[in-house]
Amino acid sequence: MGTASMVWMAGIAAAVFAFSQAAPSIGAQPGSETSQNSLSTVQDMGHLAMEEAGSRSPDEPTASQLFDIQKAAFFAVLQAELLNVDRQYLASPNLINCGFPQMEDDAPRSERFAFDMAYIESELRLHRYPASLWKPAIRNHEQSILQAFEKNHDDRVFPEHEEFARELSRLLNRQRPKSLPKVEAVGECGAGEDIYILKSQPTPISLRINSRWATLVCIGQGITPYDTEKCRGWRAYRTPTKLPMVGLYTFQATWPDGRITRGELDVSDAELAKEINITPEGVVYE
Amino acid sequence: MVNLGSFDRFAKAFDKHTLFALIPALAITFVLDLVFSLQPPWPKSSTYITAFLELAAMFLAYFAPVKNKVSLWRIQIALFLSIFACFIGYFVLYSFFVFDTPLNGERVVAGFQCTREALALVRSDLIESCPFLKEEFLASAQYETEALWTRSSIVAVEIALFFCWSTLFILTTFLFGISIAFMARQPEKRSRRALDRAPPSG
Repeated sequence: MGTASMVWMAGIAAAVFAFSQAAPSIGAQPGSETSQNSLSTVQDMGHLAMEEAGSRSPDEPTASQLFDIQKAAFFAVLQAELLNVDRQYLASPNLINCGFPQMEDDAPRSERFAFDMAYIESELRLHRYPASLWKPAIRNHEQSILQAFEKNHDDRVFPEHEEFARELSRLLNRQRPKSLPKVEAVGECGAGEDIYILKSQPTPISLRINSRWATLVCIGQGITPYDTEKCRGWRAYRTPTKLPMVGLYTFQATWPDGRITRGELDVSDAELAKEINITPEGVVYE
Repeated sequence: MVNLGSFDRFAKAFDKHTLFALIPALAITFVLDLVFSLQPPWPKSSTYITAFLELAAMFLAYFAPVKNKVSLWRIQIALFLSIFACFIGYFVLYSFFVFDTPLNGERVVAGFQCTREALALVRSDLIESCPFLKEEFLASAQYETEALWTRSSIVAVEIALFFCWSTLFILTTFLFGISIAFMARQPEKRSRRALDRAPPSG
């Protein structure tokens, strides 16, 4: 066999490898895998609730019981967390979680799955979707995935969550009464973010951040951009927190002495230290 | 018994000759990707797919029935002009539509049809023109291109970029391949002279 045959073989092997790589990436959106916002409180509180529930029952819980406990724990925390976030921007439920809050990537898959399902449920409940519409579909999906988990112990095998979210949104949009908002399953969460630590001194009464683009759109529509009721996109944050950020943002902070600071955050310098400190005098990049 | 003679002869000749066409063509592709990172942002392994298509193009080129030097020359000119057009096309598209994100250098592809929000901003004079927006606006939308341009126009640009890129290298391989295959088929001059000198066989 000549050298060229080897080159050919190598080429064909490379092509097969390429297609196996390309297949999932075709149509995939960039960025979603990089944003890894660790709102560790969600996880910690979830763990606490799980331990508590576990200590109560003397027997080892089955996988499905454990899943229910995990889901309930995440659900409780998510309800509190999502209510803290301004929901004006999200006039309709989005079944795909865009990074806030998010599980860490290295969490066990059963926990991540419980979190994802709890997220869907809390979004639907928050927008007052009746349980009779979505409960059977979600229950079916959970059972089939839990069975698949039992058969396959490899922790890397993880269900395609976005696909299910899209399917469910289609189903709900067909069946929903017209009075309910349309369900979305949009996974585009921006591209090229990096994790920044957002701090503020002193602790503000409220800190809201919006994309600069959303602010511009409001100006274009003749809406006061700092009106958090009418201008979409404002989200409340508690500091300090870790956030996946890139590009330009607008913020407004209300301080304990009644002062209000408004301004812009510029997160486009990779050389910059990874901490953004919002003070009554302005923004300090540390 | 199956006669493999013809295939064996082909395999040997193909082995020997195609390397001269294939290695430079693949090398250019991978250098532009790995050294200069100029591959299209979508799909993720566009270079590998292109490499695969280059192998196929090589095969086609090897069997192209080119009669004489004049028709080879015409084909070469046509291929060269197409390659040049693809090259220019790709870099024009690239410089207009591909943006680097500042933090991790991830590349995003712009579209050519503005969303309703963007058009509203043009009407209220907040941005000057559409669809060619300043990078500032891309940053203000967190490099989420779909906030600024419609999804269909973004996908169209992505496909156009990949099409130009792969066509560029397919044609390059074809040009190298067809030239080398033609040369390989030419009878060697020395052997003809040797034939002349050989005593006529009885």
